[in-house]
Amino acid sequence: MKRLGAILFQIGAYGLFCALVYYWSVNPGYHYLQPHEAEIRVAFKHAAQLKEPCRQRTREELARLPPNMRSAKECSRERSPVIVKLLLDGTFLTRKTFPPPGLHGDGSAFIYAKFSVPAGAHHLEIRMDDSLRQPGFEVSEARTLTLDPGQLLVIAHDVERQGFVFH
Amino acid sequence: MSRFHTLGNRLFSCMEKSFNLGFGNRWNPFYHLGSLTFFFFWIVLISGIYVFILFETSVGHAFQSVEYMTHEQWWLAGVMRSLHRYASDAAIISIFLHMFREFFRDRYRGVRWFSWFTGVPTLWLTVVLGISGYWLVWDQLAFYVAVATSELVDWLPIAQGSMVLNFIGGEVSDRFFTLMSFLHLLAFPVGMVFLLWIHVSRISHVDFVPPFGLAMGTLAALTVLSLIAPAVSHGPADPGLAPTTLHLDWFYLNIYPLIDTLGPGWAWGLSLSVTALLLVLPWLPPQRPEPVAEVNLEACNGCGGCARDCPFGAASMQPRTDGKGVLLQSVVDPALCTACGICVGACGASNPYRQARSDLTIGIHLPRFTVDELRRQTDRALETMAGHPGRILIYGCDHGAGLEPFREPGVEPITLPCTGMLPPSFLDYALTQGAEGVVVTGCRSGDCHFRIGNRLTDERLAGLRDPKLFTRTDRSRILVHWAGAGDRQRLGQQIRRFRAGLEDPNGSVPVPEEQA
Repeated sequence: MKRLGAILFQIGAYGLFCALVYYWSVNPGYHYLQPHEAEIRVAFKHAAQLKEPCRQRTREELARLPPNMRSAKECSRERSPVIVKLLLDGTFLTRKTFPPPGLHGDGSAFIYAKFSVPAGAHHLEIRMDDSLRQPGFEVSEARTLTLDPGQLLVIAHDVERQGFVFH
Repeated sequence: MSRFHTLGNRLFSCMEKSFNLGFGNRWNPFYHLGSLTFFFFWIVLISGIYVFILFETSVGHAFQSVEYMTHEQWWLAGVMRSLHRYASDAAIISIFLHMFREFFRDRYRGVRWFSWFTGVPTLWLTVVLGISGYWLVWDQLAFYVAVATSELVDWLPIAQGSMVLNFIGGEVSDRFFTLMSFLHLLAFPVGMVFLLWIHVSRISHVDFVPPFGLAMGTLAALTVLSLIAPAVSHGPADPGLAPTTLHLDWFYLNIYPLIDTLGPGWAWGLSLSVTALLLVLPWLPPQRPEPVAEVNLEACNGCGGCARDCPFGAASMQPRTDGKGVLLQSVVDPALCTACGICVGACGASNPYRQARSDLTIGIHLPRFTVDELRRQTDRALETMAGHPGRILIYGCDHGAGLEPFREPGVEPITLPCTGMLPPSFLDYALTQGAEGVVVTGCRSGDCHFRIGNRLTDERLAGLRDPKLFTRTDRSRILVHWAGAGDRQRLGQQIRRFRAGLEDPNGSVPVPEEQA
């Protein structure tokens, strides 16, 4: 009787252990998006304009430099931060500033933002300002599109076209 | 902290007591959490090798190959896949139970800090190893994990956002799968073996394998689970889809909802804070150091018993420095010594019949409780109980059931730092000097505070290990009953029965379970 009790206890213990393993290996379900939602991600790298304009060196300055370093222009390395605005149906989703990385602030800024939005037809507008020297947003693009539930829309910058791609 | 320790200790003691009834002390999983984790890793390794044979390391075919295993060859590859997953999950349970148990038993401070400290990076690597496995399935969950992990890495100043663009708006190549396979199949497991080796490097007599019955029971249970509820994938990875509901493996992927909710910075902050807390825990507060074992070179005959039996590898045999005839001498590393006294019990010279007219000196001794002090206490106890019927001397330890409540006319308890410190010759000494019976007790069998004290004592009394109990000693007058902090009542019953048997010369002395 004692042995039977021990066997039943062991079966119960193994069963409970397996139930715990199974339950936590898949449950509870994690709702990343609601069923009626879609996701928009803005993701790209962009080398912004230089923060300061290049300066023409004077004749005297050039003469002071070693012959192999006599470049006519002197440019600072630091780049402007990139400012991105995203509007959904006329209202701001975000306005974020992405500083240039690197010790000298001369790297390409990494623009990354994500939003969950209701699925359906939307008017999307994205604007980017990549120069502190020029006021306003130099690059912008607007689209009217329909997002399906669970759709992932990625917005990236197209360097060649100087615009944005939606895919 | 002390109250917290006590509460947790009671909780574990209670659970372990129940499991002792169902599994017996030998198979009690709580006493084998470390070796069970090793066993789970073995299951993961063997099932992983089989799964890898059928796995296609390419973006286009990884998912299909896993689907084939799950649905077409479900009877073997599917079971192997499920075993791979469930054994990994089970390892997390055993690791955390192991960690909490050592914490509540206060076995993580003092010189035992090293195993705790090295266990923390081992836990990290286990989690990273598990996460990397989820990438390889290349289903929606894998894509989600890949993107969220990239967000986590990209947050670091060194990454500068180069990783997530491989998945968002980029194209994943077969090269990625080669890299992930290399990490999951070789780099991380090799790192894991290395860390585990470091983790156990400061202890000796390591149990790498759980008892056969427990191992088979666990394997059978996981196999049944794999057949009843096989591991399945989400839909195939699609860069154009955002997941709605994900069935996360919470044992490994619990950090991802945190990344989504709080952002990668907070996820890093919380993870590193918990890690830092775990790393410094052995010094919060630091344990008051006990005077460690000391070698008495004049009395050391180089027998090597201390080095052989030390559970922490603190004693070792090294070339003799005093020019005596024997080649070796014992040397104690204070950084490893827990002051348990097991080395004293293992010393061949640890015999109370020696040096009867002077202080008893042996090759190695514990300053806080010398073997001479043990003999003095034994003599005092024998003197106190003289003339009483049913004279019983009880030897126990600091961490087992408290012995003071058993003190009564004719019954005298003596408490040692660890029962493994008790040389078997003391039992013969007590019986020849006036005790009618001797009780040996200490932590529950398989649950010695100093790892193997009760096992060594059992083997010494059974004549399987030096120093052995004399063959002349009447074993029927010795009761060995291991009893933890919550087992005082049961120990009391055993002692009363034993004593009654000794007092009744015509009756038979009851044989306790451990001796049967």
